[in-house]
Amino acid sequence: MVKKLLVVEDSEFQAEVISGDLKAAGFEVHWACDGLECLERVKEIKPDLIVLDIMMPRMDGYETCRRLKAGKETAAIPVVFLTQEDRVGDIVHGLEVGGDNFITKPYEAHYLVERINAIFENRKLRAKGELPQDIAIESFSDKIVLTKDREQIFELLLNSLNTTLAVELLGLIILKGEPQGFLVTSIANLPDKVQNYFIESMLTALNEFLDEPISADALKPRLIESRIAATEFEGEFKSYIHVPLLAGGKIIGIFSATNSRENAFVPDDVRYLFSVGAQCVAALSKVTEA
Amino acid sequence: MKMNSRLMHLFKAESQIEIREIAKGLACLKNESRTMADDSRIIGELHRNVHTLKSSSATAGFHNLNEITSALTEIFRAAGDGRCEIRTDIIPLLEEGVDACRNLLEKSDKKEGTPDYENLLNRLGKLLP
Repeated sequence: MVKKLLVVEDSEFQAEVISGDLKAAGFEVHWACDGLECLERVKEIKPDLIVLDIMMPRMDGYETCRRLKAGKETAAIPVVFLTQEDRVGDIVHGLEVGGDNFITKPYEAHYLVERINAIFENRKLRAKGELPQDIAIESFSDKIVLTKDREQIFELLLNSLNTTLAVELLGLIILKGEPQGFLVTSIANLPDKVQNYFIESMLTALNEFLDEPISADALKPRLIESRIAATEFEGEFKSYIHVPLLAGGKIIGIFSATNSRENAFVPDDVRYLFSVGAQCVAALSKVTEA
Repeated sequence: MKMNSRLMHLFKAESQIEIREIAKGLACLKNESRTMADDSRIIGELHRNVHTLKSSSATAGFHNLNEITSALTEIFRAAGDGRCEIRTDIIPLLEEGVDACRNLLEKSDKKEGTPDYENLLNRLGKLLP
């Protein structure tokens, strides 16, 4: 059956371009010119997925997404943000209001179609119980699920950090009792063995955080010297930042960055990464998925 | 992206409307009887209009137009966040930016080269904190 998409975009020109790309890929496409029209039309069209711009008159994309995810009949409709906004704060905000994917303009048509198809495919597999890679975190009364769809938002977030920090490799590990899942984004297209080494260094740092009693001091961001820095990969990475991710006073994971230059990071970078990590956790805490 | 003539016509028509709205917004900021609430609303609208123009120019492949609108977007974003003030003495420079956008859009029909906007971009960049 042909999937119905609703494109929400205030620029008619951009709506035409996006619709053209999506129609060429075999989708049935409808258009709403802002968030308010989207909320009206969604009842009549019942789309399978919504492609949402952020900056629009009357109601912006964040508020539209928040209302869609709060509505009983619309909560399950996947929302893909398609926008020129690509700052860390924008991406975290998109995650916070329940967005399922975040694609930045200008985009490649095949990439947009690929992401949309991946969301449909993941939903199908999830319904059959065949997508065990979702990462579930339980923090007090919150059940937080980082789905495969939402992982892409983290990838983008990590990539956008590259413009702010001198990073070559960024990683995020989220725990549930014991290491359960991780996500590593390679900025410098490094080989697998180097990425594995980085993951190992993240786990080492995470253990250092977890070994210590949880106190206000222990939860402060800091630089940690990796125990395994002087190995055969010494030439690859010389600087690390590891910051703990906290939820409900507990460490639920780690957020790390590395660079091959010595002293690549300054204390402000540590504080910045810590703040991004805290925003991610706050955003995840607000996202509850049945 | 390859644009057919209908899409190109739509892009230009829509961009001209956005440019007119931006010029109108800047003129409103010169009105001395405006309130702080007016300022906030006008700056919000200016930010959105410039942002749409920036996004459309990127989609249409108008790189110079995209560069100028990117600079203007950052200024209106900073003004909206309270990081910089749109004082009346800087409005002529912002209007120069809008004129450049208008010229770039008009010149796209003609076979003449586009002027170098580096100087304008530098001066716009200096308005940011």
